[in-house]
Amino acid sequence: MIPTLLIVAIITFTLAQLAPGSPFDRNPDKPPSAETIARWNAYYGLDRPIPEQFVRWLGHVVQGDFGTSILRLRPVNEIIAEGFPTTAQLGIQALLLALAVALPFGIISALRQNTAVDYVSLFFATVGTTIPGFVLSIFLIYLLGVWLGWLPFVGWTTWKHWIMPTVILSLGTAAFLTRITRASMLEAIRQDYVRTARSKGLGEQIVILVHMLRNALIPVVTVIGPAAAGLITGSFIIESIFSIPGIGREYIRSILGLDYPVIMATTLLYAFFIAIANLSVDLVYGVLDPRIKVGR
Amino acid sequence: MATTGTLSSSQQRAIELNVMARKQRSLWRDALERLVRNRAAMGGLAVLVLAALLALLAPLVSPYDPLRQDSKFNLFEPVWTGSKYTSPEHILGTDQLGRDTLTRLIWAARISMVVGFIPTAIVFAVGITVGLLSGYYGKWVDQLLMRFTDIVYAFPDFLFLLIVVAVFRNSPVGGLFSGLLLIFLAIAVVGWVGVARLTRGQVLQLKEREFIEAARTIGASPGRIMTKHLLPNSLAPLLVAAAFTVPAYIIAEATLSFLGVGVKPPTPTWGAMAFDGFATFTANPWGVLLPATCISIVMMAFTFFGDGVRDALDPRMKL
Repeated sequence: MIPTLLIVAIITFTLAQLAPGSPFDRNPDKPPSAETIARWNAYYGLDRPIPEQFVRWLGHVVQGDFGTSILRLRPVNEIIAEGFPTTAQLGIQALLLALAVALPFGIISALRQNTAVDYVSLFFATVGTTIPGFVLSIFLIYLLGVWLGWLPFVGWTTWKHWIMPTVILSLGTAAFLTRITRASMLEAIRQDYVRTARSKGLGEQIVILVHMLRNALIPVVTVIGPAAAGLITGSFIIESIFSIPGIGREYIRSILGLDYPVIMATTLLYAFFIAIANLSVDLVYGVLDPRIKVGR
Repeated sequence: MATTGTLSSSQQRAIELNVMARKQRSLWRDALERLVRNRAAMGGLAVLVLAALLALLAPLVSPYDPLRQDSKFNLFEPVWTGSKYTSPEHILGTDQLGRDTLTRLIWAARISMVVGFIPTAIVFAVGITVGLLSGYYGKWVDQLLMRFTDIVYAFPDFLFLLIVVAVFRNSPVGGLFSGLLLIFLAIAVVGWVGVARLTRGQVLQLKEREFIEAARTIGASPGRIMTKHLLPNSLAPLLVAAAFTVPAYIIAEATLSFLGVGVKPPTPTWGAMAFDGFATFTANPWGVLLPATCISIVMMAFTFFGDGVRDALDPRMKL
């Protein structure tokens, strides 16, 4: 994981430095004087050779210091510490909601294959995986926010503010997980061990919960990692749309304003969580299926 | 006398059946028949053909010039809303600069089609070539590909796309073709890796099979084996992947433009129109609802068609 993060850091750093322009020329009406820019560059260390900048930055990061935001004139650590709880809350809510919807619907669809329940859930699964999050946001904001006026759609203050972003963020993941759960339950239904369990005279509940579900969940668990990664990358679009004061909105802001320290910190944070998500899947995998050994 | 008398009807039928049985029925033909019989897929295809035609004929079918501003009509609503800010001259209304929404929606279809198909073509050309070489020869080509894959997979696709596009927007490359070239390049840099991996996997499965061995035995050159034997036999999963890649790139452009870093104004794209319309959401929600509807329709069409292609080419792959 450390090499992965290092590579991500190097690529991001290089890209950010290759960018034309600087964080100090963002106001075209009142460009600062060349002397001022030179002083600022010196202050932030931007006048040094790029490899040296990178090494210095890395040295600070290892000590847990991500530097100072150029646009906000505040420590990056502070910005992240402020935004992180919101982003984490949004992400966790969305993941839990996705699982709470996807597992029952996937299982019921598989058990009642080709019935109305199955078709309805497949239809929603198709819509959810097909329509991009920002488009869904537009429709929901119009329907629930503007037209019916039931839910607020700017900010993150009350539980009412949480509903729309959470639902929209979870929808793609829920749809994807529903499809996987259904497919892998359909596979499990036809297995010999299920027939054996039934012929032993076990109750239907036990057959479904113990014999089918445990095996059917393995593929589902493996995609929770990528799904969580999708939630993470999806969150910055949702945060921007709903003006949620999380890391995602800071991320977009920093990229648009070439705020190098914030770009670096947020990108690394995202890459870190995606790596963690994938790693934790490997571990859970081993618990669910003892046949698989995590050798790495 | 030769016995060329008339055949009984059952004998005739037997001959017909024999001829039919001998007629070549390739896998591709079967797949095509399955696809044509799939109503959802054909419906999707019809929508896509219509969108492509509108895109091609945009200068002929659109009522106005997409950049024409008419200050008399700012933020007009579609005619069916019945508000006093409607005009029969602008059926779907106008944006904040008085530009005709219907016209811009039609022109935007062009960008979406271009942004869907051109990067897909680049990505598949590069990916298939590298995948064939690395799967067939292995060794350093393969090593290089795998290392590169590790790096690309470490970086979430959309994060990379966003950073590259945002960062190089103001460079000389970023200005070419309203910023489209930059989007193509950014997509291509990460996109080919997945295709290369897919092709490589297919080649690794196929290359130990008897027909490849046979080809090698009769002295076919590596180039011939790759293009005439390995590629055609790997084509089915690649086609399925392509059917889902095109809409993914259309969404990527729309999302970038919606965040304000995609195609540069004043070029109309659905994402950029949604971005503009979002700013005036409460004054005229149609400015954002209409492009969002267009994106949804085209995406659903792609999904139905793509699902159809997948089911037709590999009935087992159903998910």
